[in-house]
Amino acid sequence: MKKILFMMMILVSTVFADQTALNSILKNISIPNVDKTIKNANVLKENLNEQNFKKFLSSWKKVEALYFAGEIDNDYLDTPRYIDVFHNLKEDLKEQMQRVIASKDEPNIALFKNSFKTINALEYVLFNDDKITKREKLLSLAILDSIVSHLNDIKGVYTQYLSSKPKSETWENAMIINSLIASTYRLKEWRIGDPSGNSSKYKDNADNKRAEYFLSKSSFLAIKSILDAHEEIMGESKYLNFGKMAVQSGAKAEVAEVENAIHNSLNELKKLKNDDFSNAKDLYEDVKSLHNAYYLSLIEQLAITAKILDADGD
Amino acid sequence: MNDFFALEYLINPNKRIFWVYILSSILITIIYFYFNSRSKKVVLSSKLWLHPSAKLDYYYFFISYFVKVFMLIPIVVSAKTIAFFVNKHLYLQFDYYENTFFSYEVVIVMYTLSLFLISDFSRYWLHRFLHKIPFLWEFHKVHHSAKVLTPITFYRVHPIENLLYGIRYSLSIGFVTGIFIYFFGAMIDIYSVLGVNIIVFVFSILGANLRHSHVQVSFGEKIEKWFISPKQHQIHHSRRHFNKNYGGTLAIWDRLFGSLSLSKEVKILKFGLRKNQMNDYLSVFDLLIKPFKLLILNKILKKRKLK
Repeated sequence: MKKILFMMMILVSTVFADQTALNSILKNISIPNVDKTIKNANVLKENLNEQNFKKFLSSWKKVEALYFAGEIDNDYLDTPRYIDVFHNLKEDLKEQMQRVIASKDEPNIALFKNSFKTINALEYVLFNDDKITKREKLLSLAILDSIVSHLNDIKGVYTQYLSSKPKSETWENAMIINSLIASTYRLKEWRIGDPSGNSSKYKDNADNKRAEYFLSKSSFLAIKSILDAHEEIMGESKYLNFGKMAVQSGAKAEVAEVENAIHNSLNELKKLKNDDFSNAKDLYEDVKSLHNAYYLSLIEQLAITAKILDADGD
Repeated sequence: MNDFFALEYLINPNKRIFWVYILSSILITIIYFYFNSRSKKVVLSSKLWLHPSAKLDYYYFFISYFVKVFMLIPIVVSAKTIAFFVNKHLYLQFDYYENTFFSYEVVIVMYTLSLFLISDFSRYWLHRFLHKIPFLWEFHKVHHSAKVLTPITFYRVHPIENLLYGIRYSLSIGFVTGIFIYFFGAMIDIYSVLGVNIIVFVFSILGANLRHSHVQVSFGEKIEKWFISPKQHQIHHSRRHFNKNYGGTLAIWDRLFGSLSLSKEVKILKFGLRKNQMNDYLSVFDLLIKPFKLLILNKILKKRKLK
């Protein structure tokens, strides 16, 4: 009865009693995704072409979409921004990168700013024109080295967490659901809403140039990767993922709602071509449904048990 | 139903008479007796513990439990419902907010404090309304009809008052939680000991059970301006000082709204209602039904006067 306090519901399942959802996700999703991104970065280093860039980008988006390292260890809160500055940069990166390319300084000196060593900077270097010059190649390799170093940091945080005493499961599950909510918000508002003119900031003012990877025409690919990452954490799987754990905790309908929204978004994305956001309203609405499914439905499955000392009177 | 029976009340840290709180109260009493042996005789007397008023508290404690479980709990909207209602409307009104400023630890501190402050503040006002609004006073009189105070007197509360406290709880805690969910998502938790808000736990350990007792523990003038001591609550039960010390844990509300009384200001404590009123509250049936009877009676008398 009068119990107050709020504790997350999502409890340990009996089937997977020996591990938490976060442990399983780190082991089966996060670390493999980081490994794949590092591998793809190295492949790109070997051969700087469009196909390899897209492979690398696609794997990175999965890591970024389910980024937990910053919450696990506060020292790594900014790491994603050392890799990807989309929507987090006030200056004009393209103009600055043009200066970097034109300069004669050593790559490590020319790339003195963190933002110069990001995937966005790499995209500019590789796709600002049809040709990759020797200078651009050197810069690309330096950028990729920096990114791989950060990816190794992320992997280190995850590996360390798996081998150390875990934090409370309540905290872990809260952290996962907050990350999923934030990820879908950015997907909806920044990555789809801004270029398609559906976000509150750019209402009815579509412009493909606002797309995340406009130069390489990889924005839809990035969106697909993010949705795939959500599918990995919420959909059917052999291992314990967040969706499976939530179902076992009684949130079957809410998980089905999430899955449905992911599938609808992926289907809608298939209909759109050539990174053109002018007809992306339905995609925006589907991703909005996904965000709402996390925020308004799944979060309500948190067990809120009122626990307060007798408040009968005085 | 697992909250039922006295035994459960003794082993549940969320209950005022949890064995640890009782034990700490006994320890404080022993220390108190070491310095003030005069009240020892009264407190240890069987006359106090077997007084008809105390016995009535014991019986009522059991009966009122059924009323709460079967009649009140099903009708009180939960704090969880309120919390999600508030969160949903904030989200629909202001869109999603992502916290990137406060760490998890800071959120826990803020939430723990906010819950405690809002809960204590709303308790102060509900308690004050129970005294100041004549209709509500008829129900709250049940609690003040105790002639002697024992920790069980805490449970001598009319179901209507229980209902009001339940609504107060759901609204205040639900509101705070809804706001916190909006700003911090699922990352809300509290610092607790044995599942109880740490502030409430500390307060309970520091002799909360002595509030309803004849052990006149005072915190001293300086502390009593901030926290309500057992003696201050006993003053509130004293017939001449019903309008003082409405506060639960904090004394700042009483100080702010002019109802604070310090221990040193009151020497003689006489508990219960006026003599002519005491006969209205002699049985469990009286405690449950009398307020309704008196309200109807008052209404009839008022009508007659008007005529």
